[in-house]
Amino acid sequence: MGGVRWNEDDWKRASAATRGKRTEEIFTSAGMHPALNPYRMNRESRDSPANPESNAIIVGLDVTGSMGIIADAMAREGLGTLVEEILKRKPVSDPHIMACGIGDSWHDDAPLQVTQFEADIRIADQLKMIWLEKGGGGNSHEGYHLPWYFAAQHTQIDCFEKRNRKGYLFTVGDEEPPRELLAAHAATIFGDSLQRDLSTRELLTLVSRMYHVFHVVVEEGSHARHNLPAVLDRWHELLGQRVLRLKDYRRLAEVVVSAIEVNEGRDRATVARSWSCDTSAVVAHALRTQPVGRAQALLGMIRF
Amino acid sequence: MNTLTAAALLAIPDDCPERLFAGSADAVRNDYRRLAMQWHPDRCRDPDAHAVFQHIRRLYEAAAHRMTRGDWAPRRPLTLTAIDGRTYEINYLRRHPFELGTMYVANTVVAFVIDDAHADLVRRAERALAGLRYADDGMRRQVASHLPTCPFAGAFRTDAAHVIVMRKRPDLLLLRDVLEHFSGRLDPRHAAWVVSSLLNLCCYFQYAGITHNALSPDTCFVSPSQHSVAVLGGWWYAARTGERMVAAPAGTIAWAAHDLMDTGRADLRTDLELVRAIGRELLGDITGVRLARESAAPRAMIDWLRLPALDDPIEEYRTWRIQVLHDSFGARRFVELPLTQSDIYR
Repeated sequence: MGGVRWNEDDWKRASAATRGKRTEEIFTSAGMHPALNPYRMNRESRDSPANPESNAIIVGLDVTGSMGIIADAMAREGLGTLVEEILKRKPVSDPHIMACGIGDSWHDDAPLQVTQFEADIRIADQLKMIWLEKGGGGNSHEGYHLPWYFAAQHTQIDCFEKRNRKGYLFTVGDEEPPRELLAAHAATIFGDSLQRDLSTRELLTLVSRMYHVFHVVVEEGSHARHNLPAVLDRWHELLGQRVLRLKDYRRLAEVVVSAIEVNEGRDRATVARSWSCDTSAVVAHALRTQPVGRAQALLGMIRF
Repeated sequence: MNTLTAAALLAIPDDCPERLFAGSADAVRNDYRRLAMQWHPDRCRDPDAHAVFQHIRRLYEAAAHRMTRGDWAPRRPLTLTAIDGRTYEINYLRRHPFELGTMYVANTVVAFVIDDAHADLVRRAERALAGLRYADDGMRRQVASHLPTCPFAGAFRTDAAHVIVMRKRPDLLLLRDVLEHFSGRLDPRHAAWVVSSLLNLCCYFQYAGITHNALSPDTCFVSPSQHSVAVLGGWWYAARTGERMVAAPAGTIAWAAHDLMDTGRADLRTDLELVRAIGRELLGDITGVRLARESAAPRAMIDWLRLPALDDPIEEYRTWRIQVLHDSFGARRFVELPLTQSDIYR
């Protein structure tokens, strides 16, 4: 998918259509839409005449409990900002966006929902098809590892296959990561028969072969508000410096774009300053631990 | 030259005409004419004849272009002058630039000419190999032939480089050259014995308390007749387990566990991940993405190669031998790989 280019006017119309509406009026699904069910499903990000050098970007949004506000903000404004700023700033070319709705693999009916990779307004339409189940298990973690598994095993992306360029994968939420993916869950959610359970650390190794992986901690989320040190500790233990702290959920798109810019080698402070005042502070807060890109690797060797 | 298959000829990169042609301008021209006759589509029934014919033509033009530029010097032995004035000559079969300098593969030795800027890494290689220990003579006999001998066959400095010369049995072929000979894809049964041999070595690395950190087709040599692997290159990245690493090649960073860049610590998981990456690369896709799609190997083998490594080499080796190989190929049997040095290196 992803054979058409982004049109700003399409987005303006789509965004305008959300004005004055409540979240429930934008996200109207009352169950998992079959088109978003990852069971025995693959997703492709392929080059096309309109997007000859595509780059896959996955944004996985926690839709449990109150976290539906993130998807809501993305549908109203964030998605347009995400695509338009990538096209304008060009940290990567021809973005193909896939959105995921993340639930709880132990308790929810829809632990993971996945759109197609899209380069045009269809991504907004599919985002709004996501069911805001508002579940979650009260177990201090959500299925943030599910997009990792899906991306590693069920996506085919030309940026990596043809150009050896990794895609980007961001998960967004306010809870800790789970410890493992049970083979039983892989069977029920994805239809896969795994040789064994996989620890979340192993999953990260697996998905990191093909994607740059980041997690965005939503500090305004109710769980993070009460348990921020524990949440950050668990994520830092797993992802090291690739944990981004989001203090204003409405600025998720800007943080994601900025993280890509820095990972592609741009200066962290310069990137933060490139946004307007309030956003600049949010971005600087998010990026403060992010390491600079791995440009050294291009020389054939890295010195630690 | 006349024995090279279409696949072997097509595997020669356009910018490496010296892998096909050698000697003076006359010798190159004669070789080209002979090959062109052999592969001309009007004469040759091979379905790839047209492609090979065109490829030979491109390689000949690349060789001719180099002759015009005056930098055609194949088959001339490598001559190195040490800072003490001694001169060394190596009749090499193939030359491979790598991230620290150049590797020269010869019949009974492999020489690494490493830029002075990386002198510290040369010393690390010497320390790592000198520090290898064995539980007993049995272990030494089983393992030592898969590793470089220490002290090296030769080690000296030139004006601008450090040179390490390692002994190599003639049956050992650089895995990268073998892979290229087969157009970038090995039969899964042959990929399997390479993986087995490397996992076995990783078990030894655990015993010795070291990590190699650069296992790849560019550092490993294989013996097709013995189904064994010798790790001769890359020792400059070796470290004691748990120690902070000094450097790593880009390939290691790409395929090791995600946290290597953050921790910089020597961890046997790195070698185990690299073994799986080698397995995938030998099947034609180091990423693993296309392996299942293209059914490049039995499902059990592909699944294992794509999954992340455990951190226990003995458990890895056990699962691989008992479960994965059995599920993939049934009962064990030796599958001959008829390939010698003369097939690859002219």
